Amino acid sequence: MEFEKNVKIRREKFGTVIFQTLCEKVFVTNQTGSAILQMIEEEKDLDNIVAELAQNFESDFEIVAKDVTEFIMELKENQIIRGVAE
Amino acid sequence: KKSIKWEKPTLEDVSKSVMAQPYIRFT
Repeated sequence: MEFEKNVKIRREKFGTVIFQTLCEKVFVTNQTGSAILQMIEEEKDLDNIVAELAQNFESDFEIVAKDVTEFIMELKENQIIRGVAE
Repeated sequence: KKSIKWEKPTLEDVSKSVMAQPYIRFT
């Protein structure tokens, strides 16, 4: 997984601002989304991201896995990231 | 560990509110 070439991100206190410059769109994420984006930047795959977050947060593994997978699919649909394994 | 409560990650499209401001340009 990696960011699309025309994507710029900027970290803020509340989360992250994402600029999709090709279709001129702007997105914002919360802090959890920001943590996931950080791990995508570190070239971690979906399994690693889920495992790390499930270890650090107070929640069931299944809930974290579902939420993270949905979020990553949303990033892909909005052409923010690519290389997501189906 | 596990002291932080899980919050569902959110992705919000704010393009309309941002693009409504004429001084913001993508270059």
